[in-house]
Amino acid sequence: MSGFCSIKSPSNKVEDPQDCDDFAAGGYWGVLINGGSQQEATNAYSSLYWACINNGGKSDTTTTIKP
Amino acid sequence: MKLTYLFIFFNSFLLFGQNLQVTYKASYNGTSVKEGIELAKKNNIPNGQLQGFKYYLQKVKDDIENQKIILNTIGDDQFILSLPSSVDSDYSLVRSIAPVSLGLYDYLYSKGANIIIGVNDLNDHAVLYDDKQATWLVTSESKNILGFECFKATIKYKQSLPRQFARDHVEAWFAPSINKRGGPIVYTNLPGLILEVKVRNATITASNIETGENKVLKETTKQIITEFESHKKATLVGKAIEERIKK
Repeated sequence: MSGFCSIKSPSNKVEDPQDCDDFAAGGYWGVLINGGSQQEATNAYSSLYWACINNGGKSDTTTTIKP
Repeated sequence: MKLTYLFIFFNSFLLFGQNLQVTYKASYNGTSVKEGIELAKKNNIPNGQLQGFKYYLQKVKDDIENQKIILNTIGDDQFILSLPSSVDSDYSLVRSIAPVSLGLYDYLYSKGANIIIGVNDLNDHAVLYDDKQATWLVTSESKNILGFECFKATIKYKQSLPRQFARDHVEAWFAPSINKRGGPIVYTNLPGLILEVKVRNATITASNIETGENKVLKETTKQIITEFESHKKATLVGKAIEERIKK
């Protein structure tokens, strides 16, 4: 288990996402596929990426993307 | 029937000339996690990204349903929208994604009849919305919200604005008896306060109206850019993200 398991919601616990790039990308596509705006998608990416990093997840990239 | 008229008259009388504070609550009516997974499969989202995809769908629902929005009117033409802290303990390390999903800002105010400025703490710029670009089709369909008779209006844009991508079918319910501009998102140009707005993934409805304190409108000192410029910026960031995802 990675430290990421501390991020959770009551009905959708997220377990062991080692790769924050993939995790955040899932959120990015989640917005666009559901008809959301580009702004919403980039914000979701940023939000999920830093949530993952802050909870012990890992990333191959070092670039900071600001919303 | 007489009682209804009396009630509406009494409400209007109470609100005349006073500044109001309106609390709105949102309910999610977007894609469920189950429907989202089907969509993800159809769109060939890689398995590695599915976890984030599912997490986003659940989080956006939870965040939207925890989001409160406060509107303070200033006179009849101006208003301020603000968001009380909405991050619940289960997402304590994650900023709420409800504001951006709903098109909300940390602080939004009207400047003049149709000009609205949205300010987010995280951004180095503020965004200007010009509601002269939008026209409303007011219908005779009505319903009661918090004791006020409200009429349904739908929006039409004079040109293709970025927000149209996300809000093709905006539906607003406004109360002509409350002679104030404003509502829970960026829309303002209706003859009465907007008490409910239905957008792509949520319905935002007034849950309380009371006499408000005299708020002072604080204008932003950030650079103000248009909705188009904001959309361009987001697109550039989006391209950078997509490049990053491909690597």
